[in-house]
This record gives sequence, structure tokens and C-alpha cells, in this order.
Amino acid sequence: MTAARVDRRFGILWTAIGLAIVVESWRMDRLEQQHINPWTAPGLVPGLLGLVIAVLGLVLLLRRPVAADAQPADAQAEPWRVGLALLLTTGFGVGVLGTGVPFWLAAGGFVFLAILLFEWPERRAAGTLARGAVQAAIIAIAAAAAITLVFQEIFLVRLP
Amino acid sequence: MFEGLSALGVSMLTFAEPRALVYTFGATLLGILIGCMPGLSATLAISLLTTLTIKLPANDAILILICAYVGTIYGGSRAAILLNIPGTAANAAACLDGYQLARQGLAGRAMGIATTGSVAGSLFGILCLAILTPALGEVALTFQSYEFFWLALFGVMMSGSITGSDPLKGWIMGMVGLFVAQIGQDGIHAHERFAYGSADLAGGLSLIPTLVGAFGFAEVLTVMSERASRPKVHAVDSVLPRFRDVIVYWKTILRSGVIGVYIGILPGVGEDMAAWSSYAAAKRASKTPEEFGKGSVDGLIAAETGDNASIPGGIIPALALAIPGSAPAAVLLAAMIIHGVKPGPMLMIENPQFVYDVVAMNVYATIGILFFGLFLVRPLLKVLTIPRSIIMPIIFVLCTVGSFSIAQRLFDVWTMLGVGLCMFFLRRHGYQAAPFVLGLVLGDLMDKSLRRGLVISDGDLSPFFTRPVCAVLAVIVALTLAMSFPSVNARLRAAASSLLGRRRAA
Repeated sequence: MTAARVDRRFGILWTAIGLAIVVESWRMDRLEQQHINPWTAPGLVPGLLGLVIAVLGLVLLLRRPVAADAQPADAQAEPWRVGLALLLTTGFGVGVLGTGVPFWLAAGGFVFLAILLFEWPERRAAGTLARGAVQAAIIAIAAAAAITLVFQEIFLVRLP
Repeated sequence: MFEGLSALGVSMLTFAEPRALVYTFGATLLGILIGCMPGLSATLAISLLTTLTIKLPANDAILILICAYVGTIYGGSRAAILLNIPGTAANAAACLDGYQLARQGLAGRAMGIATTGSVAGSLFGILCLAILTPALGEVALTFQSYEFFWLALFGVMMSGSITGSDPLKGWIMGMVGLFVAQIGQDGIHAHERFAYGSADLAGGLSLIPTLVGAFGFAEVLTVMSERASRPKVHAVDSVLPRFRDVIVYWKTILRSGVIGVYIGILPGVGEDMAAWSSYAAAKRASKTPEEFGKGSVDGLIAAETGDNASIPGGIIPALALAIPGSAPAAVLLAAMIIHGVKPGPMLMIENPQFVYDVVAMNVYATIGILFFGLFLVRPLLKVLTIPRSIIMPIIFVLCTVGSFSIAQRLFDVWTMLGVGLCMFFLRRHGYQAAPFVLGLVLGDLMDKSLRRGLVISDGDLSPFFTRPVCAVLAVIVALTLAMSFPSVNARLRAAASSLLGRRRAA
């Protein structure tokens, strides 16, 4: 997809978001029953901001493509790495934390899996998968222990 | 004046005790290590350390954050010189000549020059911090809601215009940041906005988890998505900074210091812009501009002086107006508020010693970078060879811990994840995080200032345009907007040049 086409889609998205904010701000309670000054209505500033976002979105939608937009969006990213990164991080943050799994175990498991899987192609090509797994395990154990110790025991911060 | 000097003396002595010195050197070293690792920014470092230091007394916590801030920006020059990859965005300009010097077998000399420039820039910035903060605070005492509304809007517009290559996208991000700040209870009536019955949303999106998401998780995803190669580090010769460089390049240092502080003071315009502007100015002023980009000492000094001078520069408006000069300064401002310090015009009246404490903290941080720049270069270089596939998963775990630790609620972790995901995709299409962050920080101020101003004037908009400071800020905002249209920009430039031509002819 060309950068100009992406911009047009974003233009539609921002305009829609802006208009939705305007509608929600308009519907917001104006606290008339509390006899407040109408200029202090809670929806005033969000409504204005929604309007500005919608206008800026429209400009993005309707303008001619600018030189800076001709650059391709982040060509270095590899799709499988993007997918794996999203899966691992959201899996850890949403699927594991807060479910009763001890933090040190969850953190260690995440670090181990992430290092192992992201280094997998290079390790397999070099024939050092087993070594890579051992190295990942050692780093994972050290990182989980260090983070738990520093945050929980030294700085007295609660862990998720 | 003597009161100020005496207060500074008291502050210097306060931090000259063993525990504070351990914090100083520990945090500076940590900052340098983080700066050495490409992908880890000063904003992320300060955000994570804010969560780690939440239980410490305010002065200790802010000392650690400032030392880490200064250390990170300085540390980023290491990666720029030895790998041609800027450790932080602020060090991108240092790549141009630093890496060329390294290729010529002068990596150590380049690091010495970077240390000279960084220390000189920091010291100049600190001097400005000590002088300008009380003065700006005094001026700001006359400000009312009208001025604060414009200052908030001005900050977001400037940040949107200057960071990134497309002002329109910068402004959209700034406006989105201002809107996100409106979620939760409003600052005047405590009425819930956009909460939809959720107790978590009613509390608003916490600043630190949002920042950790925008700068930390988004960066983790970006780095993890790219194939990483093991970096090759150039051999290092003598790293001793030369006092002669300060004498020979004093004009460059002074010019870059002034540019760095000026850009630092501009709301939301960070160290990277200070480094590039200083570099460009040094090239224009140089008798040998053709050497720039081929290993010019002048160029490297200019870049490193500019970015380090902008650190204290960015703290000046944060302390005097509660309007941060850069994204890291925004986190610093949030950390000060978390620790019970109230930055803004009243700070010089309620807690003047704190301003001098911050000056002293910057001085100690500068001593820290000089110390580590002299004595710990070779061990620090090993950090550059650590693969990012190892660092990034650990950073992500720290992001989750950091987000959770502020209020011990999982909602903050989800906020960090949500903001980080959005920012990851937006960055791939040219949207920058800095205007969003500034909008987030200034959203409450803008909301309250606009509504209070309208109440005072009973709905009359004229004070927003007729008061002197308001008028100036309104004109700047209007010009910033107008100049983004190529046709208007061309006409304005033509008008300005014809005006100048007429004056010269006269």
C-alpha cells in the first residue's frame, strides 16, 4: 500500500474519531441542575479537541501527498518477527499477569521464550540451537531473579 | 544574587554526602549503560526509574532521575561513535563525524571530544538553569489562565511542528494526547468524562504507564521486529578529553550551548533537535564546512554540546511554568508531582531551595559523566556488543513491572500495552510520540485554563488575544499553522526577504 493511500485511510480514521469525540462531548452532562457556570461544562474542551482532530483528519484525507510521505513505512521489520513479538508481549501482559502465576516464573518464562524464538533462525543456521537454549535459560533465570530481588526486596515495590 | 549563590552552596553541600554520591554515580552509570544501547531512550530510562524510586524521598528520587537523564544522553554518543547507530535520538548528529573519526582509528579521540562537548554543554546549560529559572518564574507570576492556555497550546503545536517530518501528523498526535488527558474526572467539577462506568477509566490514564507504553513498549516491538546483527566495535585509542579543545573550539561550544538551551526551553522540542541545530550552525560558521561529515572535530563538539545543553534548558520551563521542554523533561515533571513537588510559577515562592537543588543535581550528574568518560570507557564498550534480542525481552518485563508499581493495578499494565501497540503502528507511518506525550502532560492545564479563563471573562474571548503575552503566543501559533501550507510559507518568505532587501537598500 502506498504512503499516500495509508494517509487517506488514517485521515478517515482521525475524522471519525474526532467526530465521535464531538458527539460524546455534546451528549455529556452539562451539570445544569448544579447551576454551574456554562463555560465550565465538562464536555467543552474535549468537544473542541474532537473538532480539531476531525478537521486535521480531513486535511490529511484531502491534501496532496507530501514528499516525506513517499518513504515506505519501516521496511526493516520482518512480518513473522512482528507477529511473534505481538503474541509474546500481549500473551505475557494480558494472558499471564494477574492470573496467579508467580511473577518470577512468568517473567523468566517470557524472557526464555523470547530470546530462544527470536534467535532461532540464526542459531539453527549455525547449528547451535542447544547452546542457545541453555544460554537463554541462564539469562532468563538471572533476569527474573534480579528483577524480583531489586524491585521487591530492595526498593519494596509490589510486583504484578 | 548572593541569596541564590548561598542557596546553591547549601544544595551542593546537601548532595555531597555518601548516600547521595552513591545515587549520583550509580544512576549516571546506569544512564550511560542505557544510552549505550540503541533503542533505549532517556524518556524510557526516566519512566522506569520513576517507578523504581517511588518510595524514596523526593530529593533522592529526583537526583537519580536527573543523573540517569544526563547519563543516557551522554552514553548515546558511545554507540554513535563506535557503531554508527545513535544510542538515543539525541546522538544522531554525533554519528556523522564521530563514526568517521572512529573509522580513521580515532575512536578514543572522538569519545574524548564527545566528553568535552557534553561536559561543556551541561555546564553552560546549568548556568542558564540557575539564572533563568528564577527570572522566568517571576515573570510567570503575572500569568493568568489566558496565558497558560496559550502556553499549553503553543507547546503542543511547536512539538508537533518540529519533531518528525510532517507537522500535520505531529499536530494530530498532540491533539490526541490533549484528548487522552481529558479521560477521567475533570479538574474543576470532578465529573467523569469518557469513563462509561469503568472505575479504572474514571481515574484517568496514568501518565507513567502511558509514557512507558509510548516510549518503551513501542520501541521494544520495533527492535524485536527487526533482524539484529552482532555489532562490530572499533578499536579505541586514548579517550582523555583535551583541555585544548575547549580553547580552540570555544566559539562552537558557546554557540551550541546557547542553541541547546534555547531549543531546550521551547516546549516539547527535545535534545535531538538541539544537536542537529547546533551542528548546522557550526557548519555554517566553519571555515572548513567541507570537513563536516568526514570526521570534523568541530561538528562532533557542536552536536554533543548542543544536546547536553538542552537538558538543563528543558528543565527551565518545567520548573518555572510546569511546561516541559522535552519528552524526558515531561516525565521528570510528572515524577516531581508524584513526589509532592509543585513545579510552576509558585515554586520560587513556596520552595525556592528546590530549584537550586535541581541545579546542584545537574552539576553532580555532569561530574558523573566526566568521571565515567575518563575512567570507565573500555568496560562500558562491552555493553555495545550485547545483542538486542537479549536486552529487549528484559526491558519489556521492566515495562510491565514499572507500569504496575505506581498504583498496583493491572489496568495500568493494559494501558501500557494498549498505548505501546498503537504507538508501534503509528510510528511506522510517520507519527511521533513526543507531541502525544506533551499533549498528555499539558492536557489538564489547557482544560482548566481555558474554562477558568472563560469564566473570568464571562465568555468573552478577547482577553485570550489582547493581553500582551497571549497576543505574542497567538501570533506564533497562527504563523506555525500558516507556514505548514507551502503556498503561505513561500509568500511569507518572499515578503520577509523583500522587506530585508528594502532595508538593506535604504
